[in-house]
Amino acid sequence: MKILVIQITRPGDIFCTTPVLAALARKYSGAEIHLMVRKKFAAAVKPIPWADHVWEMDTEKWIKPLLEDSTDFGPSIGELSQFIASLKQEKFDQVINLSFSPSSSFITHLISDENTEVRGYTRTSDFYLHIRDEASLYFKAHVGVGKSNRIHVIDLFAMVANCELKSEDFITYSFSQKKPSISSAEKIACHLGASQDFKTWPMAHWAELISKIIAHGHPVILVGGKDDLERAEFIVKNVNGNITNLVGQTSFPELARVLSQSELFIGADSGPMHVADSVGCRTLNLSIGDVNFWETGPVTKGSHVLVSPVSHDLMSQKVFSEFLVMTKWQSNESQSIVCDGEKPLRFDDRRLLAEKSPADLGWSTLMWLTFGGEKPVLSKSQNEIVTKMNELSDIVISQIKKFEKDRTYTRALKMIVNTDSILAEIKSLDPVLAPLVDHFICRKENIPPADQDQIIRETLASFDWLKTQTGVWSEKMFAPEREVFL
Amino acid sequence: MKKSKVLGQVLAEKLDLTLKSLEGLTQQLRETRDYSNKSEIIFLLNELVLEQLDGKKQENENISNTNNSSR
Repeated sequence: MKILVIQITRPGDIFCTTPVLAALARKYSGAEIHLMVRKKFAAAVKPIPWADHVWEMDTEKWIKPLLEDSTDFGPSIGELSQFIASLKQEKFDQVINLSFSPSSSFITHLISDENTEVRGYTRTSDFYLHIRDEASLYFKAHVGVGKSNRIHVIDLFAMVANCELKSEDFITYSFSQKKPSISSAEKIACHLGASQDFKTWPMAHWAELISKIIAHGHPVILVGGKDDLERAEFIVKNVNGNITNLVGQTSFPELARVLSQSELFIGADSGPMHVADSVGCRTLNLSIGDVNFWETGPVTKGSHVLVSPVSHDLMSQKVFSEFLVMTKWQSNESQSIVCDGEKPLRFDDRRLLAEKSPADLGWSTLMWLTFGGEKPVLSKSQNEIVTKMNELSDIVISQIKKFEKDRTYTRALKMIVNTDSILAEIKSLDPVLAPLVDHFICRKENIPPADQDQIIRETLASFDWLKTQTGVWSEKMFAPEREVFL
Repeated sequence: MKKSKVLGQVLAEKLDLTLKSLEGLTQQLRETRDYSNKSEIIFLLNELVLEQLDGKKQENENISNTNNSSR
């Protein structure tokens, strides 16, 4: 058996994929597992455990001829076709696309045929996005900025790949032979940067924190890539004490060894944080901006997350207090969110119950819709909206049936488009109802090309789904208006 | 202005130009309902250029933000 796993996003996603590779290797003992990653990241993260063969996607090379002459597509098409042909020749039994991007969906479609079991995003025969499995539909509808998902991407990847994760799958890194020339026991590893500026904690705060850590007797190791060099220089210049600067000097496997010997990792949601996870090093995660720690936060049991919408608002004293809690130097109560490592949620959310953000409210809807959770109690106004949605779906169903009989689809189409606009408005107004709308739209948009009757049947089925859900939800259960934290 | 920023901008402009050509071509393929393998490769190429352009724009943004904060 041959399986191809496509992961062409950032290194952090590659580290979130390795537990899935381990689970696949266990599930399909003896199978040949291939992994596709971007060339620039393959070099950084090699060796990749459990991948029998790594395909390197060299976009820079493929589009280089086009940068010289933007109208001569021939050479680029030739290079790309060759890559696709080589993949196709492998005749993969399964293609598991864990990238959720348009390019990965085209690759998945191009290299699969009727004998291939495809999981994740692919394309229809007329090149529109097509999603065959429920887990990927969930991903499309509910994962990302502003959405309410709380299932960690590693667990979602496993759901897409249809495999069961075990705790040992998370310790994935096989070290390179070349050891870094330091012994880092009891040391605290700090990653000063992040993949995007808005996720980055201010340097002045970092300097204060590192000074305090050193004053408490812990040596500090600075880790990170070449993009973090300026930040590291700032710390070395401005903070006195035992600091080892390894920024820009370690490959990911070398970083893994450093982190495996560290007491704690402190940093934003980034590639190095996922490396810390891959060796079981606890993280104090500084979750800044609209980063959703539920989806991409640390998974090592005992890790803590400090959330701050604005980077400057997260004060160094608060981070230091949390550091003390984690290193057991003080026993004051943690103010952070703790990773307890249990599925389906990786974090203890008891602390969050007091203040409900829109995402918290949306999650309760999502739990009910997709995981059989308790039905969220609606306020009077929400109940009115859900009742109207139920009526609206009923009208659309009856009209589609009428038009189906008369074979006048143009008006039915107009009605469906208008319904979409109304639902989009509802979604923007109420976070509790948003997951229901997202789920419905995603189902409806996923109807593949077929003859007109089939498309009508599937459209009817999606409106039937909306009618059923809103019908169940709009029972006369009124609750007091809830305040929404904005 | 930093050299890396200038290079990044030049590359982004070239990618932008390439993307415009590719978008014209993919639109044509949609209109003629050409759903061949070669056509799909062109759609893929279009997406890859778009990804590169997005990445480049983000890098430039990060560089300019870094410059601002250091000022």
